[in-house]
Amino acid sequence: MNLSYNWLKQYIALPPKPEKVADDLTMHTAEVDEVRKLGENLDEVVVGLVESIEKHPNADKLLIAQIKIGPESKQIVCGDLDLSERQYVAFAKVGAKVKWHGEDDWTNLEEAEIRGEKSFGMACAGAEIGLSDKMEVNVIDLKKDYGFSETELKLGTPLNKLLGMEDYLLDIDNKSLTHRSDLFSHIGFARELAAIYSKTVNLPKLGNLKAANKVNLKVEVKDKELCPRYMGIVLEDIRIEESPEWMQKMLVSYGMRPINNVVDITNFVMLEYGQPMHAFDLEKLATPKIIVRPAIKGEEIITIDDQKRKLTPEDLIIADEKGPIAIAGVMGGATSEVSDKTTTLILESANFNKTSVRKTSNRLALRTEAVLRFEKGLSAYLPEEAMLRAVDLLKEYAGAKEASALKDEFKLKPKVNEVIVRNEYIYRLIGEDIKPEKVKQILSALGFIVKKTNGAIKVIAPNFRTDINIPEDVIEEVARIYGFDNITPKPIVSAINPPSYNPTIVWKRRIKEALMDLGFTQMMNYSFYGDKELRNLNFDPKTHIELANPLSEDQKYLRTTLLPGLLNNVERNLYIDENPKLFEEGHIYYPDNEMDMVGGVIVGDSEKVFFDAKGLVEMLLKQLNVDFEIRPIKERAEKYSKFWNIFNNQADTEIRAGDQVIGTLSLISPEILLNFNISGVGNYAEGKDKFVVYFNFWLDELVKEANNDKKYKPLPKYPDVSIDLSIIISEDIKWNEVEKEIKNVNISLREIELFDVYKGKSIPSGQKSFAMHLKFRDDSKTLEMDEVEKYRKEIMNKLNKQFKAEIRK
Amino acid sequence: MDKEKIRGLLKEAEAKIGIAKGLNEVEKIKKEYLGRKDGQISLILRGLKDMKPEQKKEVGPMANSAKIEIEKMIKDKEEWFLLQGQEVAGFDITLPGSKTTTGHMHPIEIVRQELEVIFNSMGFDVIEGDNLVSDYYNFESLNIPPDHPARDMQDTFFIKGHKELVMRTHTSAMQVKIMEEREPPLRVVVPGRCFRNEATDASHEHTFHQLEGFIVDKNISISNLIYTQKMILKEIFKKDVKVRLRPGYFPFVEPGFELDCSCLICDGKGCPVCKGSGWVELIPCGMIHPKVLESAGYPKGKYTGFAFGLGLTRLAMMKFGIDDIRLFMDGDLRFLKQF
Repeated sequence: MNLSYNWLKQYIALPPKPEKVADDLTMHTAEVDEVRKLGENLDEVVVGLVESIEKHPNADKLLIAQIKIGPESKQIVCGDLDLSERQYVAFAKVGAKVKWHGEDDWTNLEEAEIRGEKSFGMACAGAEIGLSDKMEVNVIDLKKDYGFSETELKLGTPLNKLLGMEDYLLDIDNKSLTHRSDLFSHIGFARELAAIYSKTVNLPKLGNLKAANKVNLKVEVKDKELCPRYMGIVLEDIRIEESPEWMQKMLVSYGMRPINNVVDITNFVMLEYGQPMHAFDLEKLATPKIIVRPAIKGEEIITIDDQKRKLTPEDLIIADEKGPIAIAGVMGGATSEVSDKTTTLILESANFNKTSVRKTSNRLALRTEAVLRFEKGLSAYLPEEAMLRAVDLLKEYAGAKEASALKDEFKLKPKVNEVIVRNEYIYRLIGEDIKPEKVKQILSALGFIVKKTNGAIKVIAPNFRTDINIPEDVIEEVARIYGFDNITPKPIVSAINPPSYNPTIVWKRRIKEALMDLGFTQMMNYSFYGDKELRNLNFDPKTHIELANPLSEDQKYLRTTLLPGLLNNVERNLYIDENPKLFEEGHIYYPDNEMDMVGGVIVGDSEKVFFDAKGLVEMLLKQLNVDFEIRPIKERAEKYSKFWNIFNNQADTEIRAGDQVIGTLSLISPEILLNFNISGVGNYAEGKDKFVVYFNFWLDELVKEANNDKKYKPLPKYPDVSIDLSIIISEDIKWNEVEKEIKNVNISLREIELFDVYKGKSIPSGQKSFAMHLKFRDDSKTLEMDEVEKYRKEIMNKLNKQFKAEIRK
Repeated sequence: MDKEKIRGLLKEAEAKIGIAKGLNEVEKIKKEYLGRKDGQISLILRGLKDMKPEQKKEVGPMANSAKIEIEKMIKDKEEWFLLQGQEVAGFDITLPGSKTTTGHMHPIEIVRQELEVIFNSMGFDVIEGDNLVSDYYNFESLNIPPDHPARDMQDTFFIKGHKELVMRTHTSAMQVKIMEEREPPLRVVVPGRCFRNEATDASHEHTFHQLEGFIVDKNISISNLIYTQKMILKEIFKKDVKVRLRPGYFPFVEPGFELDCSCLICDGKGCPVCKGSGWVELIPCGMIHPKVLESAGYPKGKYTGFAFGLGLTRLAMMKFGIDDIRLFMDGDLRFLKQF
């Protein structure tokens, strides 16, 4: 929403600096994003005359034009812009500020050479120099589009001078006005400023309507919920011509293109009062009857932007007896549009249901100034003032005469909403003792009717306000005009309650810190991935939740695992770190539940990286004091079955705490690494073979197991005795079987540490060797060496009996 | 006389040996006290023969033990220098330290944990929530019914085949859920991921991190809100910051505010970062709308409260001077290893 400073001044005396007005509005009403001096960028855009147009010698689709801008001429290279000789154009000189294609930011126009021909400027479309919001097809024709005569168009005159643009625009953030339908107008803001500055607003004086009955206008509203009020009047003797210069200037400063007096007046009144209006050419209607009704299925309308639009029964339309003539509150129809030949018209000033307008606008993807206002919920009292104002202006500037009585179908009057606000509550919510007199003064300045009663005030909001329904709404009015900045900050007075202990938060922090200590760098990846990741992992899209409106195809599925994100991270970082260790903590999404996970990857140059990973995971779990066991995965829940295909069968393990699976630790199969370009000839892989282990934990389960319940054990009184044992054993026997047997032999055995596994030279085929340190201790005496020798023999006997193991010599 | 002198010499020698800076100096000290020709102790010892017997008896042993003591001190010091000399031979302290590796915390995690600690210390509970939430919690319970124009403010990701589900557009989606489960007094912060369906560029991300906070109690006022926000910002920026409160519109608060803080780059004087205004828009906030408290099932009029939203991503950018928001989710180790 743009406010013209000059326009506002028509209604209220303002401080001389627009910046001051902007600041005060920001502090009391709504944020002013920017104060723009109008036409500042137009200093270097001047009146130019097209002298000649030739084809570009080296390009079919380009033209070379000579533009006269005074005694001198400039050559430009341009596209096929519907430029004609003797046309007066808005010529941007080198150094002028322009917006390319009417979008983006302002850039300085520079000298250019296009296919061997120099170009010293450009002929601009309105949007390219900020005169309109939408990019036009053609460049500006100052005679045709702006109605200047040749005598006015002195070559070389800056455009801001030509257009008389000596104004400031206050650019208000529309979002901050979402609840204030009354503020999409200059009068709305004038009222606000009046309350802020304790001044009065001078509203336009409205004339009376003459009773006329030449035409019997009929208005039928079929659904009063969707159209609470419809006012119409027939006006005749219309002369279509240009609107007065002052009005055109105002429209241009807002960013609207002047069209003709009738259209300009309806737009002007909209910007003045905030009420969108529409004029129908009566001769194009079947009969002088307006019907406001939901569209019938299959009905169509061509709107004034020449688009054919299919209507549904959800859409409210204005119809004559033949069919639709406008989409209510959205856009008029082309067939009944006011044209140069129009002499009699029906002027509409109506109120439509905000939700209905918004739905139709969304469905048709059609945003208009009318929608912008109606969807906020306009006051049903507004059409009256707007109607009188528009008729006054049409009489003055278009020769209009009343030809019918004013029809006013006002079937659904808004309830008068009296809000009772207790004085105590004003204090309670603001925290500042604002005296009742002050409260009353503020509210009255905003147009509220205030009655004092016992300990409370009864408030009726002015009828243009649709946003005042509850006491809090009233208190906001008081507080903002009083000035939030004038409220004294006060600490909260309440009982001291320590925050409740949230173990999840605390342990998650610990887990992440532990991982970092172990060398892992934290990643954050998107919650979405695309078909590429599904293909790489052989995942079925059906197992995924899918976005209905993804930003792009590669971000359309909700992730069901952190794995692909981390593998992508590995691939893109291989050239920085050959063997990265990365982790991520984040959510994964399944149709039945969302889970918080921590996942990590460890990269290495052989499959032995599995044991590095296992060691790190074991260290992590020891830090968390979790009693765990790592063992091969025998079964996976249905929803995780897709993971069978991803990991190396030999090294696919689960991490258990008791009966609960809290995580997994697995070596990723080479095929998957090829797909992700981590191994093989991919980007950074450079033909190397890489091995990657992935582990992940269900954080909620892990947190349940994590604890600080450590018990002190007395330090040993007697020394340890360590021996080494090296055995040869069948290669089918797993270490944990051996370990279990050894442990069972003797209670003095305190620690077993496997330090070497060996196959090959000097070991018979089909056999392997395990070399280990064994640590013994007796808590009642110092162990003698010959006792320990005895234990070694016992262990060997047992291993020999059980596994046919031999001592390696 | 001699007794005093011996004691004095011994003290003197001890001090000199203590601060001696090398073997040469020690050698000099040795000569000074024990030198055969004119060492001070040696002179006394040599003078013994001219003393009276009773004086000799007194001074003799004292001088002797002083000699032994000084000899020992000198020997110790010499040994110490020798050992030192062996160890430090060729020692170049400018060589690089041995390489060790540790992981790196994500910058957003750093800021998030910092804030969690601050809020915890101020009595706030930290609660997390789901990213995929119902339309009800994200919008309706927050006084944003379907077809409300405020929905335009937050471009939303919807779920195929599930009209009732959205990727939460703000951490406010947890407000009513938490209130349903807990009775005031409440002081809660909710950090986490949020999603908006908008194109990504240097200052926009479709995935970003917020921290929602709210307080509900019997008599919470706007003046409490201002005070609390000032305190929070003081803790975050570790210095007093000026704040200003101005109207802002969010359907789930009434009154609603934008809280600006004086620009930390230019100290409020006006610079490109604050677009010359001296203020930076930082915290959208407001008094919790009665409809929200009603959604929570609280008795009408019993409680008041305020809510506020902090952009974690934005704070991380401010704190570390990061000028491209896309770096956070890009996974580039050259970036992440800087933290």
